[in-house]
Amino acid sequence: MSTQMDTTAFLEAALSRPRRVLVVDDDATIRRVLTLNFEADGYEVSVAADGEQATELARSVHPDVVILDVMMPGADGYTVLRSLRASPQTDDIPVIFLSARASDEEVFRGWQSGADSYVTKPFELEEVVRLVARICAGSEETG
Amino acid sequence: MTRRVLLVITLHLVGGMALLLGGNHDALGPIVAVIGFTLMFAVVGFIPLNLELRQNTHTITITEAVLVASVFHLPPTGVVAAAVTGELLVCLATRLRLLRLAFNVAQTFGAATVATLVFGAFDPIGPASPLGWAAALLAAAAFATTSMLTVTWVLTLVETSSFRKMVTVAATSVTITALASAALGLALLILASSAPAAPLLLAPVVALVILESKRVTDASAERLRFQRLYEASSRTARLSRLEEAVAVLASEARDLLTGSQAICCAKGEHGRWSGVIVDDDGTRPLDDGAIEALLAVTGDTTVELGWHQVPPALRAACARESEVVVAPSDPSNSGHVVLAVVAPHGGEKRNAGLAEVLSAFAGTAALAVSNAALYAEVEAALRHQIDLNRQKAEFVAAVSHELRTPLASVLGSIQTIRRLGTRLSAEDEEQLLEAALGQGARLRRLIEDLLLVAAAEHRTAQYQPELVEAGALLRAIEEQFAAASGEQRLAVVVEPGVEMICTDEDKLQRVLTNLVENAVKYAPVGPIELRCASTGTGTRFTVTDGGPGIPVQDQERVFERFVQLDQSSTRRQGGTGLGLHLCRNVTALLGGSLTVQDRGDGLQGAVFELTIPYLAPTSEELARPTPYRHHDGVRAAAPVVC
Repeated sequence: MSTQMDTTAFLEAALSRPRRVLVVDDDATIRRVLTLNFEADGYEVSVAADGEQATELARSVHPDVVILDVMMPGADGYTVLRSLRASPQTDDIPVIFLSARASDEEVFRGWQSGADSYVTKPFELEEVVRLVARICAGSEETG
Repeated sequence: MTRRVLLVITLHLVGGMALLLGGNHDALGPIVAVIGFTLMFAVVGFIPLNLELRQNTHTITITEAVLVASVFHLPPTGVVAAAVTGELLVCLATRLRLLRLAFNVAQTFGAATVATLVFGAFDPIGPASPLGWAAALLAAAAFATTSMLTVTWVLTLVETSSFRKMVTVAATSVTITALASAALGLALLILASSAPAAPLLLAPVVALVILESKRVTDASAERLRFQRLYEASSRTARLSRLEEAVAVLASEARDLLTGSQAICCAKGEHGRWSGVIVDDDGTRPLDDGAIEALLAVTGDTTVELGWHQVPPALRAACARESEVVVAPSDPSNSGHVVLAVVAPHGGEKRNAGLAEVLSAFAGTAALAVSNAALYAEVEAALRHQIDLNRQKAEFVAAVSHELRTPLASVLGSIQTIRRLGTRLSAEDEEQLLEAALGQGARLRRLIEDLLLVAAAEHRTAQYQPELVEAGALLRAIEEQFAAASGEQRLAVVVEPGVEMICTDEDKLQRVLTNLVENAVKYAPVGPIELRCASTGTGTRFTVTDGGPGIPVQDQERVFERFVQLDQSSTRRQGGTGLGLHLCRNVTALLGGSLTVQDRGDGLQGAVFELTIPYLAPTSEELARPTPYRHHDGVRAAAPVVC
């Protein structure tokens, strides 16, 4: 498949339906920052401040990608990821971990857990935006 | 065991009787000759000869020489009577225990009976004929063999070693005894028959042999002692646990002196003595009374105590009517040990070297004990280091996380403002700037906290005492809190009688603010009380909340670095996770104390109690390191990780 067709497909898909992003973080500033940027780029953004809320929203909204904090009160990021993967409704949603846990072991654990990507805080905003765009394009192609 | 030995004795007596009576001998023979031979048996019984062959010492007796002489002059009953009476005299003179005496007499009885029967079978005319020689040699061999087998049998019972192995060892001795003793006996008889005084000619030679034998005995006994000491020392060199070391040392000391019981006491941590006693029933701890009694009779050197000298508290632990050899190690060395070996009273002639051996072994024992102590110390230090390393790793991870979280917000906000530019509403931009500033302040506060904790731990924090009025300080904190949170949850109570404190106001305020913030964080609703009262020597501040409280087992742990009972609350409340640890360290700097407990009276919540002395601590007091409590109770100076 050529790049030309990729782009076309992406543009068509993007025009036909806005991509949905679910941002899960207990830190209000991070939620606000990600919401402002993704909305400006034309995404539909849902936010959750804790794990339970995140699992519910993922079911009802069925986002194209979930940006998931690891350390949260109550159910943490790993718990949320497991419950998403356990349900047939949500098991295909790509998940990006966004965490201040930056040691090699933690990053390795993150990738091992079945997340699609692991980004450490502080993050480069452009990097997260590009990553989400690429995942959305990829899911369109396979879907 | 005793029962089996008694069985052997009975067997000998009954068997011997049966053989003698069966032989139908009724005359003892000339009474003078019987008495003469009895005395001769007794005399030779006192002089055992030792012979060294290829590093093995063989004990031979010249009893057989007397036996050979007697069988030619006395009827069997006379020979047996003389031999048994002679042995009895020897046993009585050496004060053998009853069992041992009975055994020796029975054994002599049996052996002499067998020997006379063998001799009687030949019925030779005189010692000069070849038949006489053969009869004499065989009788001596029969006597020696019977003795040897009986002794070996009993030793097998007592020491539970292989009968066959012991027979192999004893066989050489028996052969030499039979040949040498019988030949000597015959030679004496032949000499006496030609000239009655002629046997005296052999006296110098026999005397020389006896003297030489004595030298050999001493030398071999000493070599044996050193060998056993060396073996015992090499077995105790690798002991790594004190309790194990003490038990093994007692057991080795007991074997070394072939005692019935042995005690090993060692000075452990904090100069506390502990000891064990070992005997046939196994190893058991020695009670404190007995240890004290033993130490009381222990001097600087080895002592041998008779039963009447043994203190009553120690007697209870020892077998009755025994002697105790007590050997202390050199108290100036690092490991201090007292060894005591209990041997049966009035036993076989005490070897004079035993005390020396025990004394030498005490030195080895002290070394083993000190090694074990060192090993334990190194192990504890290693565990402590591993623990510190783990804490350090956790600390670094926690600090990294705590720094990254606010930084992510700061950078994220600024990047958003630049990236979106005019697409961002003025209101959103303002909000983002505000958030960035707030998170930046949080970051700055964390860094300040880290530096202050490090400085407090290093004792390099600046300490500027001034006169502080506690009431005014508390009201300032109340106002500050109300302004920052817009809530009226904090109630300040100043009890009458609170005086001025001479302390560092900034740091005291920092601690109190932290405690109040901590209460707000963990008790999200309900009033918080900040109270101060006089203790007479200082001021006690209490911060009381109505939150869930802190479980008793965690009340000390909350003051450790980055310990949070509810990990998520830091993030939610924007705390640094250093708060209480910082409070504890800064309080120590102020010379005060900080603890937490439950509210009590069935009320939910925690009470933090901070006591600050009226007078500022001196620089000396400040220089003293804070005891740093660990989970395992090991106390060490606070680790340096910042």
